[in-house]
Amino acid sequence: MKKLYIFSLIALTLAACTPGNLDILGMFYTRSEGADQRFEQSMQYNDQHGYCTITVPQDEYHVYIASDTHVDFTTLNLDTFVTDYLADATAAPFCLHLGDFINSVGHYDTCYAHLSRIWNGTGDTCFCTVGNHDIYYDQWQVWRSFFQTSSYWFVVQTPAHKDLYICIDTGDGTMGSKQRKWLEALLSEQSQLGYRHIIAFTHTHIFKMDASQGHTSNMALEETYELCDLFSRYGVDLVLQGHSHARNISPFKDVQYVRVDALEDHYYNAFYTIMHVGKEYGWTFVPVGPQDEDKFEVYAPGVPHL
Amino acid sequence: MKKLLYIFAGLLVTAAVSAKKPYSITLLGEYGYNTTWEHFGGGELRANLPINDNFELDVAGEGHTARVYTFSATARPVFQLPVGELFLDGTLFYSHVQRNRIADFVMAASIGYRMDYVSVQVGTFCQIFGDLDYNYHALDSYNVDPFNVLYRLQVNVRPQTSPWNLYFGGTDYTELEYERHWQPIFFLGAHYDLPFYNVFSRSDNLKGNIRNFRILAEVYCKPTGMFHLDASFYGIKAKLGLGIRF
Repeated sequence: MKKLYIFSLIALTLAACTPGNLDILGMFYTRSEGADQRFEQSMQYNDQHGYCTITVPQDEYHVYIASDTHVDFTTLNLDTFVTDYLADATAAPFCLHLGDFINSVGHYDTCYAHLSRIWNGTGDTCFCTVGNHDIYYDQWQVWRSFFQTSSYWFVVQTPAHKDLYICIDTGDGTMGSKQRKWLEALLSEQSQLGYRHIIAFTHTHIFKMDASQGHTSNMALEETYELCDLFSRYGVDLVLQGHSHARNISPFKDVQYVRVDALEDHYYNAFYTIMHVGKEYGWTFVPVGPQDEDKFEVYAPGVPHL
Repeated sequence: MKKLLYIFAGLLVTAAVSAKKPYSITLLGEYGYNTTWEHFGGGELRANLPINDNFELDVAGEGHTARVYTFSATARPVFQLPVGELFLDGTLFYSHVQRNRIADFVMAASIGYRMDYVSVQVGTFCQIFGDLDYNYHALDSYNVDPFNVLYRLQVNVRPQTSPWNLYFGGTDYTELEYERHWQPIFFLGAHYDLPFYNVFSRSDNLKGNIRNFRILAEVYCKPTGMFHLDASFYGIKAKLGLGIRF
C-alpha cells in the first residue's frame, strides 16, 4: 500500500509537470533534434545566405543584450528592452538575445511579434541563439522558422577595426561533435585575420561559481575544458552566456566569461545588459520591471551611466 | 621531525600488519568515447588499503590517450553498525588535462551508508580549474566552483560479500572523475572472484579464506543536458580488469 502511494505520488507529480513549464520527459531524451542535427540545419541556412558584416560608424559602440525572456503570456520586459534599444540612437545597429525566448509550449508568435519591432523598417537586427526552453516539447523547428540559424558568425566593421562575433548553439547543454569541429576550424582560420575582439555568445554557461547557478546545469567537464582551451588558444577574449539568470564576470585563461541576467517578466532581478565595446569592455546592467529603486550598475571605470 | 616520521611509519606498518581485511590492487584497461574527445583508451590502477577494521585508504590513477592523467586519494573511516556500515570519505583529486592545458583539483568530503544490497553516499566538493600555463601575476589563472553536491547510489544484485555480483547506479563522481552535480553518470558493473584461495597472503591475521583474484567489468554512461531537460548521449566508458586481493 505504501509503495502504491509513493508510486502514485511520483506519477501525479510527473503528470502535473508535463505539459507545462518543464519538459520532464526531456530529462530522459530530448524530443527535439540533437546538437549535431541542429548544427547541420543551421549550416544549411548559412550556406544559402552567407554571413553578414555590420558597419558601425565609430570604433567604440555599445550592444544591447537580452537573455532568458521566458515569454509566456506577457512581454513587458521584452517590450521595455526593445523600446529602450530603438530609442537609443547611439546603440549599435544590432543587439543580441542569448536564448530562452519562450518558457514552455507555444508563445513563439507572441515573442516574435514583440521582438520583430527591431527588424521592421529600422535597419537594425537582433542576433539570436537557442536556449533549452526554446527546444522543449520538440520546438526546434518552430524556433528555426523564426530565427533560422543558431550556429553562425558575423563581423562588426568599425572605421579602424573589425570584431568577430561567433554564435554557438548549446541549447541542450552540449555543442555536439560537428559544431565543435566547425568552431575549431573557424577559430583557427579567423584568428589570423587581425580582429580587435573575438566574442563568442551562447546560452549555457561554462562555469558554475555560485548559488545562482544551483538550479541550472552546465556542459560536461570534458567539453568545458575543450571550450576554455579553444577560446584561450585562438584569442577569444569574451564569452557571453545566459541560462543562470544571474550575472557574473569572471576571467579564466585570458578570456572573460560574462553571464547576463534574465529579462523574464515577474522576475525579481530582471535586467538587460549594455556591453560597451572599445579597446576594453564595459558593462551597464539596466534594471527592468518592479525594483525597489531605480539604479544602474556599471562594471567599468569611466563608463557613463545612461 | 625525523623521529615523528619514524613513529608514524611504524604505526602504519603495525596497523597494516594487524589489519584483518585484505588489500586489493586492481589494474583495468579502458575504452571510452565522448563527443568531445571521441575515441580514447587507457589504463587505470586502483588500490584499496585497509589500515585496520575502521580505517582504509583508496588510491587510484589513470592515464589515457586523450592525454588526461588523473590521480586521487581517499581516506575513509568506517564504522560497523548493527545493520550495514557507515563511512566517511575525504578525497583529494587531481586531473592533469594536458590536451587542454588545464588542471582540475577537487577536495571532497562525504558520508555514506553501505548495506548488503544498497549503498548511498552524499557530500560536497569544491572544484578548482587551473591554467597549466599560469602566470603568477594574472588574476585569471584559476577558477573556482566552490560548491557541488556529491552523490552516489549503488544497488547490488547480490550481497556485498558475495564472490560475484552485479551492480548499477547513478553518481556524479567516480574515483577518477568529478562532474558537477547536474551531470550524473550512470554505471553498471560486475565482478567475479576466481576460486583460487589464499594463493598468497600478507598475514595470518586475515579473516577466513580469501579469493585472491577478481575480474571486474564496468560501464559508465554520461548523458548531457539532463537538467536542461534536453537530454542526449554524451559519452561512454568501458573498463575491464583484474584485481589481486591479499
